[in-house]
Amino acid sequence: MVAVATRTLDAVPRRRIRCTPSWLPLRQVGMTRNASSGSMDHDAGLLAAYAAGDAAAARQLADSLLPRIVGQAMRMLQNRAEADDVAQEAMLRLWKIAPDWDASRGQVTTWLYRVVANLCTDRLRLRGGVGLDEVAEPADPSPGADARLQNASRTQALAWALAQLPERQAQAVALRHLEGLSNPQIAEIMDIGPRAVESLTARGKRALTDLLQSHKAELGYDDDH
Amino acid sequence: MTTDDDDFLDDIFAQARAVPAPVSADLVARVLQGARPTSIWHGLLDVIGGWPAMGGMIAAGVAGLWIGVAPPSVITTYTAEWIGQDVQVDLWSDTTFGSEEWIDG
Repeated sequence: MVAVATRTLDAVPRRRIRCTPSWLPLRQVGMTRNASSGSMDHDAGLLAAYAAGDAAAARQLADSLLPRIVGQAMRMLQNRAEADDVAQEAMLRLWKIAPDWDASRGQVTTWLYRVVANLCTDRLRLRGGVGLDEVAEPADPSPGADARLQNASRTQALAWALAQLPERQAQAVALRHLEGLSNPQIAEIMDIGPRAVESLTARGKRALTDLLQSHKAELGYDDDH
Repeated sequence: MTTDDDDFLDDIFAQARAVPAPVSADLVARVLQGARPTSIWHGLLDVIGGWPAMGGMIAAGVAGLWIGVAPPSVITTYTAEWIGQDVQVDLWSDTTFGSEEWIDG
């Protein structure tokens, strides 16, 4: 590998450009060891192969990463079309940064968590001024719809409440409570210390409770609890 | 925050985590479509200096086309001053070899 130049893409830290000869087989360019976790970052290898012109590597990356990305976006936004758009944008950014990727800086998934969280909070911010009463009620005429509608109303209410939070609080809460990540993982994704993560999640959770408290009855919690 | 509050919010979190998020074939196609031109189109863009440079090239091209199609009078005046005016010179005069009828027929 040869370090050629540097440039900045999006809001990510500067990364060294690595040009990998296309004649190198994947096993030689791909298997880079992540310093923090000690695990082999197979995604970084595929990304290097893609940057070297391997179209099959792009397919493998899409297959392995999209379920996670769509899931994260869907859990934050609770909207299928928007989740797909966010996933597409995140993958587009990944393709763009591929030639500049420096695997020693972290895992591909860590970078993607950050990009998707940012894209989602951007979209949530656009919804921010809308009241919960104005959020579209989900429609489902099929059998057993009542329970599903109530669940959908609750998750829509959560997305609405996340949209009211400051961006960093919303990201920390979503990464902790929707993605189930640990504080050190969130700290790496958000590029802050673990104590700052604790503070953000605690404040975010308190704010969510305050926002949703007055809607408990309409969300069916007086009956359930 | 009470335990009830925690339970209520944790319950909503659990339901949000359980929302299915299947990956559609259409999304995969869109993502792979985005992967395709990276090495060619973006490589070309990088070579010429990115989108700002491309925008400058397009603007220059449009300006050149406009000047070619409808040159402002100031340009024709300067052109006339620096290069000279168009002068038609007939090297093949009608009278050299006779009338046009002679040439045609």
